[in-house]
Amino acid sequence: MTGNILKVTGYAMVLFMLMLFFQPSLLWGSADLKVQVSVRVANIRFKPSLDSPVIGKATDGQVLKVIGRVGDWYSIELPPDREGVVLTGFIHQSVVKEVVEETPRPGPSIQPQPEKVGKEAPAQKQEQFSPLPSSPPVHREEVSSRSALRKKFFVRLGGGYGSKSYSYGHSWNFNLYHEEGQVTEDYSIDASGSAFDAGIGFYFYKNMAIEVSFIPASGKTKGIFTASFPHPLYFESPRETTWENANLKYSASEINLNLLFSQPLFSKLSIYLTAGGTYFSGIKVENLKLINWNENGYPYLDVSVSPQYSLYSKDTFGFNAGGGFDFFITPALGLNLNVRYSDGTAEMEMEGNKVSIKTGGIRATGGIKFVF
Amino acid sequence: MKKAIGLALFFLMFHPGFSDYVGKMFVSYDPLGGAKIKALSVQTEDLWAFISGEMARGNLVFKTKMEDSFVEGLEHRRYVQHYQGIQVFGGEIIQHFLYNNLLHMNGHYYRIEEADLSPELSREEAVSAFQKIVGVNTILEKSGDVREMIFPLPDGNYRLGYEVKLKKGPAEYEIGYIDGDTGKVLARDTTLIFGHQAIGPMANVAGYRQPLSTRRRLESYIQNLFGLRMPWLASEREGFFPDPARNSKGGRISGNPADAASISAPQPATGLAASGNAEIGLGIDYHSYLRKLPTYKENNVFYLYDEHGVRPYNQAVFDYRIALYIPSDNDNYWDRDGTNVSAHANVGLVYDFYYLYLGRKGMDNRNMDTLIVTHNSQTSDNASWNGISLNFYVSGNQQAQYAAALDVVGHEFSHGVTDYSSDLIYEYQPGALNESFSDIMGCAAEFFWHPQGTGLYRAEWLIGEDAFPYYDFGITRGYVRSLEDPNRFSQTGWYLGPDPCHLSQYYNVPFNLDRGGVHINCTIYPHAFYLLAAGGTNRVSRISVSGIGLEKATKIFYRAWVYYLTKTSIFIDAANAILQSAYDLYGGSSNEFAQAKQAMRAIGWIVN
Repeated sequence: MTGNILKVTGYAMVLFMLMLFFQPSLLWGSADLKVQVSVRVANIRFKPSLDSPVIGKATDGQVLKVIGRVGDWYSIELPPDREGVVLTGFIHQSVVKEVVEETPRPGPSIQPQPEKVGKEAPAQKQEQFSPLPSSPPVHREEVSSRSALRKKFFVRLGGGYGSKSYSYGHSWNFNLYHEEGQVTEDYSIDASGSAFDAGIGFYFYKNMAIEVSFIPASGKTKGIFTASFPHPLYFESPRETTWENANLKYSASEINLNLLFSQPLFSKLSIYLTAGGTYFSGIKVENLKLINWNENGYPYLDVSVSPQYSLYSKDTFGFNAGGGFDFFITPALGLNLNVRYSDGTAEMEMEGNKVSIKTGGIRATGGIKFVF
Repeated sequence: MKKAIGLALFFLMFHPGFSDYVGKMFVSYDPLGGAKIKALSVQTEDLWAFISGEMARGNLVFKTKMEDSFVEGLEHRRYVQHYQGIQVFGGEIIQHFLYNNLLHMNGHYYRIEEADLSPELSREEAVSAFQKIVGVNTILEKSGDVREMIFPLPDGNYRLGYEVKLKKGPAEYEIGYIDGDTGKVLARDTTLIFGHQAIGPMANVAGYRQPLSTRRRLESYIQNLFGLRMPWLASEREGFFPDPARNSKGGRISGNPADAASISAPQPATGLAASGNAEIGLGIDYHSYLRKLPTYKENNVFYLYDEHGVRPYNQAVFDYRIALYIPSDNDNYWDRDGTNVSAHANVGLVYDFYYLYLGRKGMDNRNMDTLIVTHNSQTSDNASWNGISLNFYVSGNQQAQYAAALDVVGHEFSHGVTDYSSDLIYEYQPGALNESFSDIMGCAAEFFWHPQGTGLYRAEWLIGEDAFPYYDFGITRGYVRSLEDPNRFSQTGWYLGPDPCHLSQYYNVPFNLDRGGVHINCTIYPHAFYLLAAGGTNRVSRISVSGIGLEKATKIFYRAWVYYLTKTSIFIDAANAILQSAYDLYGGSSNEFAQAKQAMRAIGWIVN
């Protein structure tokens, strides 16, 4: 599993780099560069491409703040509209010229008309700019995930299915009637089943968030035991007995602290990757504590055994990684699909034996995400 | 000629008389002769009516009943014949009931029309008549040791006589059956039964010639001198492992057994230690093998004693040298005397053999106390059962230690079983049968525990081979009797001839020669046992038997012995008992029954 984790981390790193690339403000810091429109009307586009839809227009002499540069295009910030929303877009260098300081030119205030983009045909001609005092209610879509950035907190709740299985075992000896007896314990943890994954997060910067999530997990351990008791009168004639218990308990809750990177795909759908550390709080396994046994009497052909089990618990740290999709029905409420793999190893102390138990698992949950 | 004299002698000594032979007659012709047996089919209403009439008249007194170990619902009831309230010597019937329905009967029964109930001799005169025979320093311990009894006489009459029990030595009694008129000893029994008899010019076991090796002498000298075990001289060999499945694996136990008390957690909580004073100790036996021992702990001292804490009966070892006290040890690691360890462990194994294999709980089937006396002394190395204890003797010129031979221990133990079942009288044919079945059961016990092979702790068709020191080059050539080929050996030192393997080789010898040759003639039936178990050909008859395996042969012979023989059973009775036993277990058309018949034919019987 370590290899897979490295892979996931690698992809996350790549995506991180890509996203940074598209977040020029991070690289460049706050710039004082401005450009002035040098044509009568200039198009401001969604992306630095002539095929990209026009999201607004600027008139001759208008000064725009530059926040970055992509090829022949400037990434500029439009003045805030009536609601105070600041849009950004791209303008070709051929229609502007750089200015050092602002030379405010009188002109009508520009009220760029937010356009329906995405599924709407991007090639449609735009309407003339005009103030929109009584424009119909603006459908505030997420033309970019940026608008959502202003909504920083989110809560995610989901339920689904998790898969986890792990086997371990050990054996120990004891002295009896001048020979060595032996007990072997073989356990298989089966924590597959319904899973619950809930988290709250905070976008601290652009597309990056911190998320704290919680996954309770429980399941069953099945133990298969053999015990071999030396015979009181003969050498090498042990009485052997085997038994199993399929109802031993297992539970391990996770608290994850993750870094989350999200990336809009198109209109309402975005994808995210997440990775971070996991605190496995209270891994509890029910294992064999001791065996009470009795000789059944002469001729000692068998013994009767009554095992006792005990719950052993340990906390440990591990890691987790995963990702998912958000589909926002409204900007505040979305459907969420979350997949997470978590991993941790606990060194449990059981009656003087150190037993290594791997915990975690992979789970896919679906649910809702509230953004506010 | 010799044979005719022998026959006549035998006839005079004792014979079953004019009894009706009650029982299924698989074998009706007795080449050993002398028995005027009127064979009657058990099915005739005449006989059954007669017996039930006798029962109604109170002439059949119930003695014991035994549930069959192997056939469900089968019960054997022993009755002793009486006449007018007085016991008739040799009159015994065993009735066999299947779910309380009388199936058949066997035994010896006398049709007494009249009996002379006024003897010439008084009790005291009978006692002194017997004392003249056995020795005048014998003691009549109590008046109850003289009993009146009715005897069938060779002339066909029935006369009142006496059973006289005289004490000859500690735990040694001679029992005489005295004719009430003449004072003649009609039959004689004893409580002290030895494993072998010093016969003829050989004072010890013939066949064994090698003295103790120099190395062995040196080892024991050094050990005795320093009271130490010298590991480089007498290294502990691999742990001895007796395997009920007869697959010896052998194991190695290393480390100091004294720290076997620690148990690490998670730990078993109870064991034998929880049941009072019983503990399992370890000991080094006569052959330097490791054995587990049931011991008794009191005040931090351990005793070679099992107070029904491990096995369900009491067993104790008395070391004769230390004046009969039970040996003790401080750490429950018994490494100072291999004989005591061997004796204690081996008797336990014989008990286990009887319990696991034959369903019998000890000698009396009631878990009676078993005492073992070791390091007793005699003129020759020997072993015995005296009705009270199993005894092991060494002589001044010790060559063997019979406590170390599992078959000899089983042999002596089986004498105890005989005492509580058939109680075969220890002379002539019944005595030879007594010895025969002890050899058979002792050998079966050895085959139960040891894997077959040659050498120490290997099962061989010999008696007593493990009593002799085991040399590193693996040669142990001492033994007492052979089951496989009795003729190869002679207990009389070839004075009489080879040990017999066939009825035609039966020695009709007088009482003063081994009580009528009980140890000499006791090789015929064990040879038949060997043939039935392992298969083989009899040297004399050249008849072959294909073996049916040890387990089946043991069950057949065991049942014949404890359910069908009586005090005065003779060889022909044993043949019929064995065949009846095979018939009970496997049926008339089975291969086992067919091979049992072959085995009887092989030793000289003509089977109907």
